[in-house]
Amino acid sequence: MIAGRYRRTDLRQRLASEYALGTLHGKARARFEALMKYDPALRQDVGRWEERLAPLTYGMRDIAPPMRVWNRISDRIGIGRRLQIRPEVRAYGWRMLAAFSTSVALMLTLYVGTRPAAEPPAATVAVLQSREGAAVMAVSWPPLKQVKDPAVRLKTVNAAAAPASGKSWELWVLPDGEGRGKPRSLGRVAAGKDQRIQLSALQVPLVAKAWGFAVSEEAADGSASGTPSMPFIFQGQCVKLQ
Amino acid sequence: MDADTNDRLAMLLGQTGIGNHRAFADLYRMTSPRLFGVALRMLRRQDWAEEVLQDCFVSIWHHAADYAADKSAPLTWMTSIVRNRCLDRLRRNRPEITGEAFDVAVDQWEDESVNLVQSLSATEDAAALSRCLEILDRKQRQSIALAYFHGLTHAELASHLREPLGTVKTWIRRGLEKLRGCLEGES
Repeated sequence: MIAGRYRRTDLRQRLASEYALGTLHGKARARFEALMKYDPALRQDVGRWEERLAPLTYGMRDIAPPMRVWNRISDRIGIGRRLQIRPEVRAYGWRMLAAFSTSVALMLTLYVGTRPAAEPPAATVAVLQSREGAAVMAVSWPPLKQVKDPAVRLKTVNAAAAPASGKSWELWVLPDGEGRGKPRSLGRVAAGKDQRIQLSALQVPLVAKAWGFAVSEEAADGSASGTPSMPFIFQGQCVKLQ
Repeated sequence: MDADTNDRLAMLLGQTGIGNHRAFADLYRMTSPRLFGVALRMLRRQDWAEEVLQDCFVSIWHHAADYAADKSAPLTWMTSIVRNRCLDRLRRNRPEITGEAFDVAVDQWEDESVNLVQSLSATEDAAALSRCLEILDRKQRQSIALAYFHGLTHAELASHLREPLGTVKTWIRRGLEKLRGCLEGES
């Protein structure tokens, strides 16, 4: 059942590692999956590789899925919705990820609560992280076509972060598509303070099509050249919530 | 992962395997934020991530009895189910992504392999992986991180890193070999 060439130990190891990493694809992936069914030792090699690489996910943000996902699952397996999972914000129990949970809690806050009455809820959010992976602030905005005076909200996650003395922070939108994603300034932002940044008619389409936001550190009165000082100190990609 | 959490998850999976609804609900509550985070990061689309998470938990409900506690940690087992489903989803809709839009998205990932090493230290196995990633060449580390986090194929990696396909394949292969040698030395 097992093709001769798969008996070679080094080849088996290599395929097992690339399967676990995800780089085995197409027909090779399908063939390998079929082989694993008949070759428990191969399945174990893959298992060991999955364990080796698993810590890579420890640093990822935990993000609570919307309740509708659970509702659909319980409908599909026919257990009824009477077994509601408790909809508490801090439902996850990974103590060691306390640092990352800040951004999760924040996303949930943006999603379910604390919305100003006059404005539709935030539809998109970008959690900006430092180079060490700590969440510092979040930028969010409602569907821009549904509001009269489009703006983004900036919410502080880590109030202790501040620019170096004599420097300022400048917020940049990273637009997709035309213009090859050249960062465009949305102006300077104050550290440690929640704020609302009004968008001009030119900025609205950039934000609507943004794939991310970033903050650079500039001289006290902002970037003179119209381009950010690299590298960005914080950045994050946009995630659609609705 | 701490031992208590592991034991609890293994117990919940065992109960799920014999059709215990309450255990399955608890399992979902404890693991779905992690698994949803993994899926969102790989897919970068909320609708796809929700769909994948839904399919995976239905699959976990039906296959929980197949889980073997002696072979892998519960969360690793579940994460692999999610990762594999994400890879299928990505490759169904994105047979091969190259070009401008891809470059833009990928700029942000450049430094990920650096942050990676800094962010890994919370547990013993994470610390070992972190030490071993550090001995890899930067290119090897970067290709492995891009493949793992974003589900890139060899060809996509080659296009993004602007290197010949063969070179990228070699980085991955040698990087993984080196990683295994190092991790086996650590344990």
